[in-house]
Amino acid sequence: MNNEEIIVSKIFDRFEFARDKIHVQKRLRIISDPFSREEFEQIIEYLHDELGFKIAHHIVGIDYGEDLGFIYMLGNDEHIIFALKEKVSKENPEINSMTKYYPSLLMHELELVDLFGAIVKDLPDVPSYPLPDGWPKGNHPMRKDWNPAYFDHKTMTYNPPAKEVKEDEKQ
Amino acid sequence: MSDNSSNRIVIPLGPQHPALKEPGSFTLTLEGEKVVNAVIGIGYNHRGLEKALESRTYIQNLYMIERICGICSHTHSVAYCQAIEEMCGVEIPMRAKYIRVIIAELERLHSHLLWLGVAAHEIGFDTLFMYAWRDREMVLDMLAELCGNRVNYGINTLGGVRRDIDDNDAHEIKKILRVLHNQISYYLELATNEPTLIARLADVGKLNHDDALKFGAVGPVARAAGIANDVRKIEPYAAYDEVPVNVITDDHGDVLGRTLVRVKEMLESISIIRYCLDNLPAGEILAKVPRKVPAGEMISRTEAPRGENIHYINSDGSDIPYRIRVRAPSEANWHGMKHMLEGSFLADVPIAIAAIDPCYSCTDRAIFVNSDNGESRLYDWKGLREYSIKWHRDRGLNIADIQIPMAKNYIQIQRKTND
Amino acid sequence: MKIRLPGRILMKMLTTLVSKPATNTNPYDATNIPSKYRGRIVYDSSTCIGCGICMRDCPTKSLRVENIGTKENKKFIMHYSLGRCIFCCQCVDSCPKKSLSQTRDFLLATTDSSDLEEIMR
Repeated sequence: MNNEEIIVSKIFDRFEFARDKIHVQKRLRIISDPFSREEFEQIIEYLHDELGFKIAHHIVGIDYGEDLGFIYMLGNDEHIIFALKEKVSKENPEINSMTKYYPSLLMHELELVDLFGAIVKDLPDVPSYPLPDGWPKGNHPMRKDWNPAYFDHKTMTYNPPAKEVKEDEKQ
Repeated sequence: MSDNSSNRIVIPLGPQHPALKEPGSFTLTLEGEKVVNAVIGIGYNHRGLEKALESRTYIQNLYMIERICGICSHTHSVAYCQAIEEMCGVEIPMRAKYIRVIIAELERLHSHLLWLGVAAHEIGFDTLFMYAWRDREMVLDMLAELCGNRVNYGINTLGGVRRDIDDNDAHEIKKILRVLHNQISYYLELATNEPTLIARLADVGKLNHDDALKFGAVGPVARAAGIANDVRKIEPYAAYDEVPVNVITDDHGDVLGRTLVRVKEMLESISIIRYCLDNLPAGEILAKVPRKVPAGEMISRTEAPRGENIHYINSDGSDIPYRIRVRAPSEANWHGMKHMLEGSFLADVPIAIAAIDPCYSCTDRAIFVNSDNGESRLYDWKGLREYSIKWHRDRGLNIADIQIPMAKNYIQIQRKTND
Repeated sequence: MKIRLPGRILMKMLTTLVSKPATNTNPYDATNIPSKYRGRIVYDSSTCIGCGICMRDCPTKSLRVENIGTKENKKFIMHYSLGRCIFCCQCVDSCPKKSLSQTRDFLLATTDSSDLEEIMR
C-alpha cells in the first residue's frame, strides 16, 4: 500500500459517508467526488489537522449547471495533490471561509466571490478582487450562462437579449 | 517616544511600474524608513483568459495558453499538452519529450538571465543588467532558430512537438552554451565574492524556512529558504525521469539566496541541455491525438522558471474544454510578499518585490477588460480625454477645467514631422 | 574581488572604441531571419479541397475559405486577415493537402489598415 492509499483508507475509517467517494487517480493525485458543505468541512479539518495537508495550492471554481463546485487543491510534505470538492446549489451558494486553516486561500476565495457569485462567510474586509471598479452587481463572468458578447464595456452594463421566444415555447 | 503612530506616512508605490515594468500597487505605511504595513493590490492585468479558453477548441487553446505569460510560455503549454495527452491515453515519442526538455531549459536560462538583469537594475548595478541581457539575447536568438520565434515559441502541440532539432542546431546550441557557461560562472563568482553586491542583497526580503512553508512559497523563493521543492524531481514529467537533475537549494532565505539559487540553476540548466543533446533519441516527434478529449479531469504540474505551475483541466467529452484553471507560480509567491515587505526599509522594497520574479499577467487571468463582440474601439486624443474626465468625475474629481496645452503642441510636432 | 590585471579596463576601452556596434543596422543591412521563422502565410488554390480545417483550427479566425466557382466546378479563394493573424502556423500544420505554407516574410507594416485584408488565389 502506498502513501496515497493509506491516506484514503484513513479517511474512510474516520468518515463512513466518504467511503468510495475518494479515489487515487495516479501517483501523487487523490481526487474526491463532490461533498456537501458539512461533510466537506469535516474532511478538510481532518486533512489539515491530522493528515498533514498544510499547503493549499488554489481553489478551482466550476459551474456544474444547477450547482457550483469548488475544488480545493491541497498539498502535503510528500507533494501529493488532494483535490477535495465541495458542491453547493446556485440558489444558496454559501460556503465558509477556509482561511482559518489556509491563510493563502484568501485571494482565491475573493475570486470565487467575484467570478462565481459564491457567498463566502467570515471574509476579512478587503477590497474586491479581481473585477474592476464599477462592475455591475450580480454579474459573475465565469458562470456558464454569462456570455461576454452581451457585456458593454463602455457603459459597464450587461444586456442579455430578451428571452420571450423561449417563454412562448413553454406555454 | 512610546507611540510612533503619529509619525506614520502612507505612500503608494505603483500601480505603474513599481519594480518591474508591470502594474501592481503597493500601499506602504512607513514609520521613518521602516515599512510597518503593506497592502498589495493586484488585478490590473486581467484579460479574461479562463473564460475565453472555454469557448475555443483544444487546438486553438494551445496558442491562448502560451500567451498567459510571455516569459514562461513553454512551461504553460507543456502542462496543458501533457494533461490532454494523458486524458486521451496517448504516449508521446521520446524524441519529442527530449525536445520539450531542451526548450524548457533554454526558457529557464532566458528567464533567469532576465531576472538577474532586472534585479541588478533595481539595486543600481546597471553594468550587470547590460551583461545579463546581452547574454539573454543569445538564448533568445537560439530559441528563434529552433522554434521560429523569440517568445511564444509555438513548439508544443498536442501529441508532441512541431519542430525538430537537427545536428546543425545542436552544434549551434553547444557553441552558445560554452559562451554562456563562462559568463554565468563569472556571475556566480561575482555573487559570492563581490562585497557590495552581498552587502546590498543580504538580509533583504527575508523569508525563512518555516514562513516559506506556511505561505506556500514555490520555486527559487522556496529553494532559497532551504526547501528542496522541484517538480522536475518530485514528479518527473517529459524526459526528466531520464535526465539527471540536481535540485539547487540555499539556506540564506533572502534576496542573496535567491540570486545564488537562480545563478546556480542556470549552470544546472546548461548541463541538462548538454545531456539532452548528447542523448537525443532518434525517431518520430509527433503522435496522433484525437480532436475530442474523453470526459474526465486531470491535474498536471510542471516546474516553471518561477516555480510550480499547476493546470486543472476538466473535459466533458467534446472538443472544447469545460473548465481550465491555471495556478501560475507567481500566484503562490504573492502570499509571502506582505511578510517580506513588513519590517524592511523603503529602499529595499523594489528589490524585494523583484526578487520573487513576479509575473502579473500570470497571476491575473480571469477578467474581461474588453467586450468580445468583435469590434475594437479607437480613442482619439479628445475622446480619451473625455473618457478620463468622466472617469474622474464619477469618482468625485473635476479635472474638466484643466487645460492641457500639450495637445496643441503635439499636433504642431506631428505636422513638422509630416513636412 | 581582486583586480587581476591592472590594465584590463584600458584594454577594454580601446577595443570598444574600434569594435563594431552590437546591433545590426536594419533596414540597411541584411537582417538575420531564422530559417524556421514563421511569417506570412501563402496559399495555393490549385490543391485546396475546401475542407475548412484551417478555418476551424485558426485561433484568431483570420482565415476564411470561399468557393467562387459552381458546385460542380469548384474554385476556392482565401480571405486572409494579416491584422488578426498571430503567425502561429497552425493552419500550415493542419492542412491535409499542404495548400498553405509559411514564408519568412515579416516586413508587413502598413499605414493603411485595408492593406491587411488580403485575398489569396
